[in-house]
Amino acid sequence: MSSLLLALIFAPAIGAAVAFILRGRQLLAVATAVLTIAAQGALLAFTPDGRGGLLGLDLQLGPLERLYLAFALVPLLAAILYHARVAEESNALVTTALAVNSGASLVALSQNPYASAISLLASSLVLSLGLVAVSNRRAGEAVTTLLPVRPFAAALRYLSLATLASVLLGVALILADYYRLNPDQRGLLKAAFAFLVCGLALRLGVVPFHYWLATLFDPGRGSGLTGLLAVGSLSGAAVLFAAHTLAGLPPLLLQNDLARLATQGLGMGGAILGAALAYAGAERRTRILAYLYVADAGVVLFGLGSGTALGLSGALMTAFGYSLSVPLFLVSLNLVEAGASALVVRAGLVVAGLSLVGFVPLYGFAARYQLYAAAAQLGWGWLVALLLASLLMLAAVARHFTPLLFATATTSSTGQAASDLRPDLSVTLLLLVLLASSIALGLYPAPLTGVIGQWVRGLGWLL
Amino acid sequence: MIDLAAIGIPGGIILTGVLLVLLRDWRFTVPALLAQYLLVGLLVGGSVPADTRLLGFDLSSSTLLQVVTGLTVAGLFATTSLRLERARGIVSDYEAELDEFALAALRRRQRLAVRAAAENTSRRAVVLDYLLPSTALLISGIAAYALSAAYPVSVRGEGLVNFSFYWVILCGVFVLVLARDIIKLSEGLLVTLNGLSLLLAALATRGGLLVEGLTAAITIGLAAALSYLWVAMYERRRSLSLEVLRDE
Repeated sequence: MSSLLLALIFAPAIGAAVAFILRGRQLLAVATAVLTIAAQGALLAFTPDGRGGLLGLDLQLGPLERLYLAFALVPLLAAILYHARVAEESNALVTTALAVNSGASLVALSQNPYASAISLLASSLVLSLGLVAVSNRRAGEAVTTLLPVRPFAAALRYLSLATLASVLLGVALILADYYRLNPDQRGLLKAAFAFLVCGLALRLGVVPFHYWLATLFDPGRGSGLTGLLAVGSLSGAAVLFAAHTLAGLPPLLLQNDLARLATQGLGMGGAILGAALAYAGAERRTRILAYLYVADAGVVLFGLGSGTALGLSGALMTAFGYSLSVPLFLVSLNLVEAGASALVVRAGLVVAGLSLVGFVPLYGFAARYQLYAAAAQLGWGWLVALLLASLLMLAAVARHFTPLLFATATTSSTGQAASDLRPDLSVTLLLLVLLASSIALGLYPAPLTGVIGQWVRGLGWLL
Repeated sequence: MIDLAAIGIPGGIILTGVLLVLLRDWRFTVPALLAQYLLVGLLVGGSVPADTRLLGFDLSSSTLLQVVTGLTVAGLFATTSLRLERARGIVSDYEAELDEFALAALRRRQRLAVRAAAENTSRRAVVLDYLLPSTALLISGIAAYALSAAYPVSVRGEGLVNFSFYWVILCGVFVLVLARDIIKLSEGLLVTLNGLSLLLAALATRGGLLVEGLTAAITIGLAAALSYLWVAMYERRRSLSLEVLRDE
């Protein structure tokens, strides 16, 4: 069992190492990544639920972890495919994406929260380096133009915030451990919860800790694939980490009424402000897209802090769903802005935007419905606030992305003449699969709600 | 009788915080960072039992890890800073590949950066170099004192250990906030990360050798990544100033 669980963590790490060695040969590097993803998928399918470990690190694979790991393969595949077929990025992206997947696997499987927090930081570190490498060097080519330094600013910002988030999460875990030894010291519990919430808000990009997210999606060069990996893979990992931490110490939520209320307020306020930023923004559309995820991060934080089974379940579903919505949204947006007018690309943009907002009958609705129910359980005021945030997000999507749908191929979104870009067959297939998944899981979410709901109900102490 | 270790180690940690916030030259700040790692290592060693014997001394493996981490981090930063100093005036591979337009743009940006730095030196130097860091130290001192009195973390009730924990964290945050170049920013991140070890020492708990090893590994990885960013940024803009990043 241990060897299989370790293989789930080390297979992408080994793939990343091989891709790094082969980074000068794009085809081989991409083939390595595809083989690694296939191996990871096979391992996930055939490894039974169970526990294992190595050198004192306890690992556990359950249905929830399996679900997250399966979802995490989607942004990985999408980033590599888009990089290989469309984007002009270096092969460092393949290495980065695989390394991030390895880190996310460790976060999901590890039973040691410290190891998970460190793994989150390690993944961010790799992404930061990838951002600089991706943005500055195409293997084997001389760079004759002056390269922008904005990717450095984005990398430094992300690295700084990831480090600060890890420090906050580390302090939260240390205080929580100390509370376990001294349960009479209730103040420790409050402090641990406050540090956990702030660390998580930083990691997810909740307002006012959000600026790094916009620069990851729009780093000044490249296609924002680093943002895709950061939100598509690592946000889900961070929420899973938070869920495991809360499950490991129920008093964190149960005996912190005021702090729970503050968390709900921070999350909901962040959602409304993020949505307002997205609506009012006059920046590049990739930044608007980032603000939409900033708003959604607030909704996720609200769900986590709600202390209800539905809220926790909705937060997990929403965060896991980023694996579908971020690739669909970003790839469609990049293609449309590049001049593609194919139906599948425009449909991708529509479905991704509406799914993110939580529109029927898409995946986002299945997740958002649980959050609406949780908000109603807490009081009508919360429900109204959540509806307001969703409406603002919808207005932002309509304002910024609808014009793209009606732009003709010859004018493109920027108003400049552009030829009708025909997306590659593999990219078209990717978009179709993502589209079909978003609709299918929206119409029939039972497999997901079953797994997540069973895990949440297993906790037994939530409202 | 006064316990020198009980006063000297937290006192040393406080002093290194002062140096890190006030000074800007890496020749002083990198040794201060190293000293802080060593002192935190000694403090950790005092709070957990020794489990390793090295060169005739009984040591805690946590101390050993902290010392090795500090030496590696300081070594990386010092080597990189030295390399960048020696690279002044030498044309990098990146510059050699640029065409004449890009080269002209690079020179223009360098001139602007130098001019901005000169303006800063003449107009705002007193505020930025001395007044703000001194105020930050004052705020850190008051806040650390108040926090250590209100929320003591040390299980043995040592006031100085309590104070030094909050002090290190606050100093790290202020170094980050006041950073004007990438070197200071990197030091701020590592000082803040160091606060975690201090918290473990204050609570006299251990996260386990695996966690300590992983923390050491990620700290070294972070330092290596930051050093790489220094070199890459310097190669492209011949400057480590954060102003360069704000310009674009």
